[in-house]
Amino acid sequence: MVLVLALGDLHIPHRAHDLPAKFKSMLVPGKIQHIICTGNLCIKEVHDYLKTLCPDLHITRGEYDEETKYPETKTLTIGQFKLGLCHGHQVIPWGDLDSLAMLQRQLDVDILITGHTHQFTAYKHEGGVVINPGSATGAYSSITYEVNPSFVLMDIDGLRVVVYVYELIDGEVKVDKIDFKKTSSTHPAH
Amino acid sequence: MEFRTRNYSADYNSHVLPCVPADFHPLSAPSVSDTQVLTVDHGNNEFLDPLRGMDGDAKATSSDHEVLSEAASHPPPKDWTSSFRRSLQQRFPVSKMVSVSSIPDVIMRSGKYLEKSSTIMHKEELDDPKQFSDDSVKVITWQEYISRLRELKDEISSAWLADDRITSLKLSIKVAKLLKDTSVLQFYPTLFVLVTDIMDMLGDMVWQRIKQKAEFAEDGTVLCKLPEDFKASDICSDAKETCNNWFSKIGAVRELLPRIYLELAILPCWRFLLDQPVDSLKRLVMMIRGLGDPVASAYCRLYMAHCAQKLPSHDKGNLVTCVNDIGVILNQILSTSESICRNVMDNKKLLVTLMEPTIEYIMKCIFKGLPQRQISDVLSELGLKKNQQFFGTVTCVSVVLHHLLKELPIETIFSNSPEILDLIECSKDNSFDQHMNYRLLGFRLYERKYPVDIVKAVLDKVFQVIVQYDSLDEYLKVVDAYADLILQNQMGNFLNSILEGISRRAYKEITEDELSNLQSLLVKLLSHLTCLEDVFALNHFPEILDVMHGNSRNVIFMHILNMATRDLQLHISDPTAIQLLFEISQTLHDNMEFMNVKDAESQVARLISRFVHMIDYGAELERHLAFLVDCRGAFGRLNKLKETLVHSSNCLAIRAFRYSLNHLTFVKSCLTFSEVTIPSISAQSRKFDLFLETAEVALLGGLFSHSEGLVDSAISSLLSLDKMDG
Repeated sequence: MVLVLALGDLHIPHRAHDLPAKFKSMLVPGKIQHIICTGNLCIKEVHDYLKTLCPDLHITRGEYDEETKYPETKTLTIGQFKLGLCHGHQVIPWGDLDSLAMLQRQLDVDILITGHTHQFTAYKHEGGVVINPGSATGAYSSITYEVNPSFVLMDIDGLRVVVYVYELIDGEVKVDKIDFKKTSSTHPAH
Repeated sequence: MEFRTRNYSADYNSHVLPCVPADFHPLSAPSVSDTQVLTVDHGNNEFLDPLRGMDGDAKATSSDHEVLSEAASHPPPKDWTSSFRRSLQQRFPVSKMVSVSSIPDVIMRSGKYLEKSSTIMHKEELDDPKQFSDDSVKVITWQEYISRLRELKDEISSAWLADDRITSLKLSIKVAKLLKDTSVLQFYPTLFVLVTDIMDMLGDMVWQRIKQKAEFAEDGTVLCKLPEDFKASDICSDAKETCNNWFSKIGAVRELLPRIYLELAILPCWRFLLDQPVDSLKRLVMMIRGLGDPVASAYCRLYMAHCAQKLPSHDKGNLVTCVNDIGVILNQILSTSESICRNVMDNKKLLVTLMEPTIEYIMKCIFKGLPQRQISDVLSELGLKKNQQFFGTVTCVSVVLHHLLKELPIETIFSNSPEILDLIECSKDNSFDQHMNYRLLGFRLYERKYPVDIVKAVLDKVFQVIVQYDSLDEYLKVVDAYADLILQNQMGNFLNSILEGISRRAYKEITEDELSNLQSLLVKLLSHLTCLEDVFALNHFPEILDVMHGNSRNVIFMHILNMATRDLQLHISDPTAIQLLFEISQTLHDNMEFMNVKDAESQVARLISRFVHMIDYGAELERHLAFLVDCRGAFGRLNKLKETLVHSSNCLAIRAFRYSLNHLTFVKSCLTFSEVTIPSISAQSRKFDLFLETAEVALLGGLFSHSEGLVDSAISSLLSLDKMDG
């Protein structure tokens, strides 16, 4: 069991003070093996906090991040899965599956994680998965201000990944899960 | 050109991954003891949270605990004596000139003396030359005096190396005689340090000489190798004879003071003759009583304490006798009527000030490594105890009491606290301020945690005394020392008494010293409080804040702001609290360049930003926007804060979308506020981000022309950006 936390678009301190307390109490060091962050943290203190949860931290740059050295895209392999990461403001139209699919093919990954829309979505596309963990703080986005705080935790085990979706709705944490099995073919059809 | 038709709902439905509620998930508490889960940072659950930990810096530590740390620590080993000597010289700095009525020949080279010349005359002499014209007063700069002493040290050492030990001794006697002269009191401690340095050197040289005689024969053959703990029986007769000769030579010195100093310098050499030279110290203690001058005799006792440390063991009773003897002299000095002239009083104060370090050092030596069971004996010998009981109304010279309280082990203080309080109360004289002894006791009692009833009994007694103090300075010095005890034990009634007492005494402008003690007290108080409401609940707090000024007031304001903005999840909505914090922020902003705080501007900007973030007027959005406008006017110098104001304004617009139906006018006001504020921010990259964010907010509201204008402004700021930036 390898736990991968995917979150982003926190916009601390400009649009939100902090992660919701109920999220913070669940996120303790030592449980999670990897963190992938879509971007828009926006300040170093948030980076340092995420590092305390897990030292293996991968971040891509959002348009408001103060740190200029984060890359625009990133790929990494965890278990049998290739993961791709990008903030998503570069992909026009924002949140469009076809456009995101292009990026997925470009990065040649099984799971593409992007953000920017602050809305949780999880699509399957040509043997792969496109996930948007939403905004972990519920900050407003360019598209909408009706945002529930959310993040995603992936449990990767062999060819199977269980995606847990944590969403804060009316003060309560709601947890859903998605089961996904990778097909034996590793290259998605063009 | 035709666009491809898109059916977003159909796309969504065909591609979305189905979610089902999860009964169990990896983050559910308690944490799973999963062997596959790697512990990545020591496996502990307490981690520093930078988002919560951003407020760390503003707490100041009380500098008055130097007294506490001095009292509580063991005397540092080895280089203590040299650091004590250094502190003596620093405590009594010497002015440029040393005027002595007759400069000893040993200081004057070849009998020449320095004529008064215009280059080294005092200003007073220039003003009133008649006063000095007929006098035989000679002047010498202290640097010349000191360099001459250094030359003498070299001469003594060179003569010794050339086997001319007679000359070495003669010069040493002359140097020791210098300590007879106490005409320039301020110079005496420095003179003492320099002369005793030479005495120590002589003592070491004599020791080495005799040891060599004991270990090597005349022709150089090895007789034995003396161990560290050698006995007198290990020493050959030749060496013993040499040792005896030295003591005889020194015993033959006519004058008392140099005789004592020289014998003290070679005191360790008694070990070559006797295993337990117990009588020497006792005899020397009696001899020192023959010195008439109070300062000379006190410093002689200080040197005796220093030399006694070199012996493997010695009876500390001798040191206690020294303290008692100094106490007797002090009593004589202090027991004069008050109707004498000011000069004499000042002189007596100077005498006591000069003698204080000697008491301090000797007391440290007494208690260094003293077993618990012997403490009672020491207290008995000091006249403070009989048959394990403290005397009822005995008094003690207060400066002696002060240093005793500094060195006593905390267990002794605790178990005798009522008697010690009586002792302090009865020991009222001009040698040391009584309130400082109460103050010291307060710090010492905080070293350990004690039962509340004992603490209460002590506080009752102390407050009975200090309620009679009229002086704010004395009152503050004492209450500051007991503040930690009171706060630790949550004794609200004592706290109220303190605040009332300060308020009653602070009716005129307070001095720097009083300010510093008040600051220390208030910092302790604020550190114990958890929220602003607790601050409001304090009696007389606003009046006390009003009397503060300068850097101390800024420090307190920073503490208040830090405390109020500790938890960003909370909101500040009470108008009184908002007004108070706003005024405090304004004061800090206006006084930033005068603050003795590192990186004052960013600290102040951070605190005020946190304050702005926490403001919540609920549904009164216009009021909130008006507050942001006031902030922009009041805090114009802080760029970081202006960024916060723009972000807050944009968030306010978003809240208007969520809560209000007729929101467009208000949203336009927010956008205008942001648009007007952003150009005043100096960093171009920040301007770009803020224009972009504001444009997004305008877009969310459907205000396309606003959005377009803001995007244009963003692009303009991007064009102004230096290519080297970011």
